[in-house]
Amino acid sequence: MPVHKIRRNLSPQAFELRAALVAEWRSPRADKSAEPVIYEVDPGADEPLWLYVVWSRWKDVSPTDRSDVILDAFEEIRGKEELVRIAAAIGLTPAEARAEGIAKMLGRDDEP
Amino acid sequence: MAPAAFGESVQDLELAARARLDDALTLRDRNRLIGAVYLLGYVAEMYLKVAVYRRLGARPNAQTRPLWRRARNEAERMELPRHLGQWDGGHGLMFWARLLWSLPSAEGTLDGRVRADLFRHVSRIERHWTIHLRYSPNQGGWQEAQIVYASVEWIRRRRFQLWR
Repeated sequence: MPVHKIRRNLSPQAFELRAALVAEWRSPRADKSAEPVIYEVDPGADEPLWLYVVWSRWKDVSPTDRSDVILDAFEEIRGKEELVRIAAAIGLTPAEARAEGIAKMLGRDDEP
Repeated sequence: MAPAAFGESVQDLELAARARLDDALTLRDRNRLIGAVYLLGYVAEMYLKVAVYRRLGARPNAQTRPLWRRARNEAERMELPRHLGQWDGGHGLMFWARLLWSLPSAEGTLDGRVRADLFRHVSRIERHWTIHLRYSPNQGGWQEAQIVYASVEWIRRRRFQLWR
């Protein structure tokens, strides 16, 4: 049976978001109110990572595309080998993050 | 907690498994032991499915429905249909475990020690859990809940090892 590997291309908007996310990941700003806010939830040795990115610019982006942007940005920064460690890559707007109680879930007091 | 808008992706299973595990522990701590075991079995099922889907090359945001079909096709292609008796509507833990250790990843198939441990833990869970447990009027025992929890926790802690 032939194997068809189909990889969706990012939309121009998503491509732009990916570039912005890569820039933030490479050089995080000191300003704590700046977005995007990236949470890397790493439970430690040999367990998978969860990634949360809280960003107002997700507003018109579908959940699947948000995940693609995060995964592609992560791959660009850390490489394919590390990418396999990601169990979940979730993009949320600040309002969605509040509604989901993300700060509480991550054990943080500062609401995103 | 998974945002409802996600649909059913591989990462939904990962997040749901964690949430149901917390629910199961709450039930266990309130001595609602059959309820705890009932949920724990589904937690194991979700983690095993995630591992199989990841071994099939899925990204975390891939939809599960086509992966589910592909998993069944892979099982047939690998001549595992004799184990489809354990398929049990997609809830058969041993089916998913057998498929998991038959599928190669970029790093090869699971090593013998991990396979043996996985078999042991899945067997233990299946001794106490089926999807029909929801019809059981029994209260269940603390010891059986602890046995199932220990094996589910083994799968949870090694899930990355199972899929990479």
